[in-house]
Amino acid sequence: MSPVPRRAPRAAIVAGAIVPLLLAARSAAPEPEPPFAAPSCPAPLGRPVALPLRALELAFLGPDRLLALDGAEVALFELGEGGARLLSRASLPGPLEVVRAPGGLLQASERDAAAWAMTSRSPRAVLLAVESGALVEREQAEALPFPGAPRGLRFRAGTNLIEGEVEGLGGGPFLDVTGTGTPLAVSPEGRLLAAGAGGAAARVGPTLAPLWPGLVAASAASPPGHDDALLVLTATGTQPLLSCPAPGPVRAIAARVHGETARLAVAVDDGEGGSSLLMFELVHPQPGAQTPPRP
Amino acid sequence: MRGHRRAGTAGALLAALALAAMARAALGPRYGGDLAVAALSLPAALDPAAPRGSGEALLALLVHERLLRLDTEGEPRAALVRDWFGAAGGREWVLRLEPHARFHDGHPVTAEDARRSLRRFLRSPSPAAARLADTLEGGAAFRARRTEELAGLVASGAEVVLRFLEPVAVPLAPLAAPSAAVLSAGGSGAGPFVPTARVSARRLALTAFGAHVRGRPLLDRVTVVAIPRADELEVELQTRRVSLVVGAGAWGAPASTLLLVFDPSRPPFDDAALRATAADALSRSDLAERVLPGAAPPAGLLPRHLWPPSSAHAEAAHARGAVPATPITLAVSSEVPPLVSQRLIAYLDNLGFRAGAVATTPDRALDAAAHARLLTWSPEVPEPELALRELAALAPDVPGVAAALAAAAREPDVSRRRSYLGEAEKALRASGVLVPLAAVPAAAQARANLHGVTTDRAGRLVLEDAWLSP
Repeated sequence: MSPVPRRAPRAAIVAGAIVPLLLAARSAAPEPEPPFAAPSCPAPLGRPVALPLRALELAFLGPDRLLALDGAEVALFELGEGGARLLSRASLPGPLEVVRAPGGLLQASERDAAAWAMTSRSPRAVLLAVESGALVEREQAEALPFPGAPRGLRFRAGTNLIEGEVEGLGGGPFLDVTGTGTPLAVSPEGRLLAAGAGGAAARVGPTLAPLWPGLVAASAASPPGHDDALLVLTATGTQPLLSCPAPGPVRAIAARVHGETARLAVAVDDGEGGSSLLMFELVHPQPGAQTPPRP
Repeated sequence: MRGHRRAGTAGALLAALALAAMARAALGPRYGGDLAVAALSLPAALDPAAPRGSGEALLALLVHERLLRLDTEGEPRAALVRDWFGAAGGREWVLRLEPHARFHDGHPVTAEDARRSLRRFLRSPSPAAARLADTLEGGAAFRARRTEELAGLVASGAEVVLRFLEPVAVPLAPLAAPSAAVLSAGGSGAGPFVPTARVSARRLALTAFGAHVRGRPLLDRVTVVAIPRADELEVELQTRRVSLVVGAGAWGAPASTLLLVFDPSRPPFDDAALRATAADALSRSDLAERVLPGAAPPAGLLPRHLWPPSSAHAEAAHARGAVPATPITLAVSSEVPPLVSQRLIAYLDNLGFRAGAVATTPDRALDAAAHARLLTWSPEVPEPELALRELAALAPDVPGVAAALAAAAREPDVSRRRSYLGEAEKALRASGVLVPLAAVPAAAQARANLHGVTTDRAGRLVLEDAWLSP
């Protein structure tokens, strides 16, 4: 892995279109944690859709646009009643390294119809914009621009571990980092890290998606042989508000909040090297007495 | 999506049913972590060699990489070579190297490295090397050191070319032998872990190799410590000083043969009729299944997944009884559980032998000076013909074996080839030198937080995808 540059990477400059937007969405400290009544598990919206790649990360680019990242490329899908229609694909910068369990990051801006993408197989981050329904490369950088990380984020060579000094979270490594609202991350030990939070942390899997302020969706920290689950947690809580069984290992979650509802896109491994996409709609948990999560 | 829904679990359960075939795991595979392993013995050197014992086999796969491997079905799979193709009617095979393959010392893996390593392999004791040498142009003379010329092995650009005397069956299988691993000019390996420090003869430290051809392994470090007693291995595991022990316990399906090897060069087992009597009686015994977890009756000399089981016993013609109270020494590999060797000694006693057991390390079990040797055996190359050649080397000069194996090597027809191999196996068993006592799993145990450990077709443990859960 190349050393951290002495000056801010080029990414920090070219990311001007996106980072301020992401920063504006952040809050300085974790939201106070009100008690929530445990909601019900949402039903999937339709049947699982086979994706033509192994998703490492997902991100919404609009109400009906979804980006999926695998180790070597980014794909843009149109979401509809019939499932997900592939609109465009873009390759990541090469040469691509061989990584046993690659990791990926997407930082998307709906307003700019663009996203930064990086995986541990590719040596550089890439800024992709959507033009006329197609993904177009706009810029490359040595690190992925990220709010609160002045030098950006990188992958530890040959791994899925994310490194980079993130305000309030330290230098990592992390299994996932999300930058909307309070910075949140997953430690390599499977603990949910929230900027400014101390004490015990919830056990989660390697993928996160921010929901409403103070709430996050995550996969479970189940060991092999146990079912995975889709969790909804408060950023600083130790127990999930909601735990819904997942039909396979959850590898990526994206969430798009609209008022009191949030649309969730969940990619699960299909056991054959690919991914299946499941869509859910989640209702904001209502304040009230907290009840134990579903087993 | 418009509006919101509150739904119960029915939909989620339907989705779960729709995807019921999916694998289950969440937090993993996970990078990082230090794995401590205890093995019965460590090899004196880490040079490529045919591994004897599970500890040597483990290290061979940690440190070294071959041009290709055999998958669980016995088919060749790319390792340091990216792909290969045949030419000249099957007499010539071209192997193209993986462009990004590197050695631990940072040098790229070149065709010249492969050529140099295969020349070393061809002169090694490995029966797989002998088979390759016998079939390559100029290979036999080169192996016998009558010449340094070897027309059948050429390095050209990023390609290695093998030229055979005639088309042969499974021409590339010998390259999957651990002793055919490729070294750099400086002696560095290309396996998933880099040996960093041999703290003592009993302790070896290795770190993850970031440029491994299949990607950096998940573990950061592996430390292997030698614990010469099987019962102490289990204590190491129970006290959590290590997360994996190799040489005790049972791992997976039977992939090895519990083998009794009589020494036909010295009395009393120079008597073929006496061997036949003992072999026939012992092969009908229930020696290991009741005391060895995971063990099964032997399918023959070869593990069941390499060779279909045969109900026929080798003929024990001209059998006769033992001389009463004939004293013999039995060398017992430390990988064989004491209960098994005790039962064998009791059986031998019933047959008229007064056997005294001598413990030996797995790497020396075959060389021990004894009338008989008891060990767990798995082939260096998990391919039936090469495995039988290995066994034939333990029972030399058995009539018909060499001819049957040579015919099998030349035979392209699968059915006729199996027939030749069957003849060789039957002759080897009829010799009474090799007695399969049980089919046994790999000797290993792990703590519950170790995941991703697999075994190859020879039953050797593979740690390159292993990881530790927090």
